[in-house]
Amino acid sequence: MLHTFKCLGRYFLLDVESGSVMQLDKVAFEIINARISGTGNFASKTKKELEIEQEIEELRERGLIDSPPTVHAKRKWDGAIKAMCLNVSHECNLTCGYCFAADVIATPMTEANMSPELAVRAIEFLAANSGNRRYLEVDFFGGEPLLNMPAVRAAVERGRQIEKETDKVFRFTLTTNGALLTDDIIDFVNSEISNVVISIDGRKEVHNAVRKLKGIRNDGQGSYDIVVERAKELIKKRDKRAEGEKKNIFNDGNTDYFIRGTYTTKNTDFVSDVRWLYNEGFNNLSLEPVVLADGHALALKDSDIERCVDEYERLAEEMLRREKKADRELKFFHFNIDLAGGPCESKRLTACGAGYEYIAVDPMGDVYPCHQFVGQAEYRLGNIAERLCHCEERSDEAISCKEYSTRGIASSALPPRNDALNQQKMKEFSGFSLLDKPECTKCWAKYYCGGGCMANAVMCGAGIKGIHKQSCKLMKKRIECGIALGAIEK
Amino acid sequence: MKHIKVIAEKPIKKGAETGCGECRQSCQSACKTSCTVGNQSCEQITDYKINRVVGSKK
Repeated sequence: MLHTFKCLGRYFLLDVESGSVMQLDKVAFEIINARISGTGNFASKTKKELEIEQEIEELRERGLIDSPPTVHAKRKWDGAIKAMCLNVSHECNLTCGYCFAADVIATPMTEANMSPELAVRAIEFLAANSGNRRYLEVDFFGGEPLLNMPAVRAAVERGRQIEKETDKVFRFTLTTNGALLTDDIIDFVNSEISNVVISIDGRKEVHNAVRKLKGIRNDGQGSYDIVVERAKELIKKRDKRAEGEKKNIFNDGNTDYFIRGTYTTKNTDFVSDVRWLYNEGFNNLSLEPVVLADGHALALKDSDIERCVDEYERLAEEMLRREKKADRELKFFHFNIDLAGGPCESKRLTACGAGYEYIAVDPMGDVYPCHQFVGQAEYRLGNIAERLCHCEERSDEAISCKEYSTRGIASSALPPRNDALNQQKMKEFSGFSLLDKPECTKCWAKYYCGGGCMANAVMCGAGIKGIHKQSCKLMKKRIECGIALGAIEK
Repeated sequence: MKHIKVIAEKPIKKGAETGCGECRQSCQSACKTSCTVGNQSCEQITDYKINRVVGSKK
């Protein structure tokens, strides 16, 4: 399968099955398009057309075009979990108009915060059920995770202990609204958290219209000023740390961060928000389309999507202009495509791994396929608090303790085994891939989106094997921009 | 070639040596709502380079 496209005033060809990318001149673009559509006139050829025909033949000989459809082996999940979203708090100090967790934030206060003991057990559960995976990922999420720092600190401490006892490596991510980043917390985060995601939507008025503070003194006020001031402080210290670690060319020393914003129907001109954030001094940016049910005041309308597609093109143009000036780097998460490498075929087919490799744990220990499913009872996979193991009190749990002790992870508080979760449901999730979506198997973008987000598909009523059409259109444009920018860089 | 410039040659790795499951879970990076798998990196390659250059497990 071949896909041709024009982006940034240039012409490109993608060989879908191999991932090979070519840049074309206009005539080559037209000839290849004519071949794809079967409308080419092959009777008489100019010298230039003959040259292009020869070059196309060379590409074919090198296996760079017309790659045959891949025969995908049926993937079998080995039972290992490698990533966990730890919702340590379902309280929040902000009230945001588009929050997908708004329903669970209403949980009674007594159940809003995860106990440090449960946070520790969640880490142990992940380590004990991670099979031969070495890199384990934990994202502190919520609500606002900084409202429960005791649980965050306890989880990190236990993770570091496990690293010393085994060959496991924990990578912690913190997703925060940033307003509660005290100097003390910043020092902890920069020391222990490998990736920090701070939510800022862009222009001050855009951010403040949606992301408002809660509280007696400042209820309803926009959070922009405090969040930006705190984010700058964190990144200033993080950059200083990075300077000291320049020898680590893979940037693996707790130096990653992203300013992550959400755009809605109110700011489909989001290039202005990217520009604004860049001018505030932030280099690593991600701006996401809001995903809300139809009818919500902030939901993107179908009529917004074409404008958003054009806006991505404008953003790519702006990034190209900045790159030429090379004054300061601007990274946009969704344009960051590694044309020379990237994930393997297996990863590209299965995407996020929600429900089997990736799980979300709420403050009471309930487990869901991912952070977006939290609170949806029909998708609950089980509970890791219910099966806390107390051998001395419950003799029927002794077997699980014994099994656990053979895994080489010493613990005084033994976690439950993987069968605390509904294995049948997890196996079902492990079978979901883009191969189950006929529309996706025929799509040129399939190896970049992996079939899309299951939670988004459920939210829009398409079902777990369905497609969120708006996201699909936006994804395709982002991929084209990412490929074009990557190609021009070369 | 005058009219066609090759930018990337067969980057999608396939076969028995792939699918180790070590790559970063896509929603742990920055998105949380719009999964993109094609912009992740391969952990097998990173791991090799880190061990070779830095000589550390992290």
